[in-house]
Amino acid sequence: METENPKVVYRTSVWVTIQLSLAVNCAIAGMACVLFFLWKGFGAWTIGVGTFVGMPLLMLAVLLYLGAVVTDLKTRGAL
Amino acid sequence: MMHHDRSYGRPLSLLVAFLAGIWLTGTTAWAYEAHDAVSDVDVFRGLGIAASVAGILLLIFVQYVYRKRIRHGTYHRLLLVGVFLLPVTATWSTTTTVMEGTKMVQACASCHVMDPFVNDMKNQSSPTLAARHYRNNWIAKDQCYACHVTYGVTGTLAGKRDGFRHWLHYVTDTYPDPIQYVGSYSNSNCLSCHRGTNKWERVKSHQALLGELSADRIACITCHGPPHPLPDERAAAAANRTALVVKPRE
Repeated sequence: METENPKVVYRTSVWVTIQLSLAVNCAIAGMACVLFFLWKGFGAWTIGVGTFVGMPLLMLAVLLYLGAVVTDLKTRGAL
Repeated sequence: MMHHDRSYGRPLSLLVAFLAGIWLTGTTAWAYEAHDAVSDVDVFRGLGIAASVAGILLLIFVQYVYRKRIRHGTYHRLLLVGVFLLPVTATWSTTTTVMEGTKMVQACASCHVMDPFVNDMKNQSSPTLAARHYRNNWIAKDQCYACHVTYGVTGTLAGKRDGFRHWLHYVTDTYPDPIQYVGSYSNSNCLSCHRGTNKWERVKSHQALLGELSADRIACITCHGPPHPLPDERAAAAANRTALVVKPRE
């Protein structure tokens, strides 16, 4: 009698790993910029670093993360 | 594999304790003047600081310290928190802090090019519109924003573009001093408060010119100005580095 192995191991693709790594680094840099602004308060440079650098980095991190999740789910046939 | 879970349990508990300390002490470092009650800006700012510190430490620990020692599923669950939930929280908190914080007079005064305007507004003897509104407490708070509403979250796209342009000129030191107002000021900013009041309705010229005023063909400040000190007065104040005193109009 043939038995089905329910536990199939999928390896995360290199592209997904790269996306996740980029997302992590962008998130760390973005949150550091945002933290600088929030901690120091309003000022010409702090608002520039926080909103014009930090926020785009955070949005890029979230987009990269979502892209990696979608790619991974497609690889596994879940989407 | 259980010993791995215990190995990072202690640093994580220390991290939680550290974040609790940040949360409790964070609000004291804000640049704004002290308030009796905690404002919305303080709350969102505290939330943003907590989310950012938690996210940075979590990601450093997960990606660079414990990456090889934690299980695959745990790694991805922690990434969900560190790369999605906490950044979204930090972005939301920062956006709200900026949008609410830029309404405050202190935010306008944080760029020294605005000093003559803020000093004049707080000058008890100044005849400018801004000073009269401030002195008589006609606007309870956020006095700059009350008349310059285009900068808020519900403001226009042009307001955001101008704000970015002003910031760029400021940090690159490419602005004329004293600064000149470029653009037009809509009478609707004045009429939204004044129109319909008994005092406003009693003035016959207001009724006669209502069409012109509504269409911005005549500015309110033609009769009621100036709203702020004139460029030469601001230049003199900047040269003297003293509080601006504007001569009463004759």
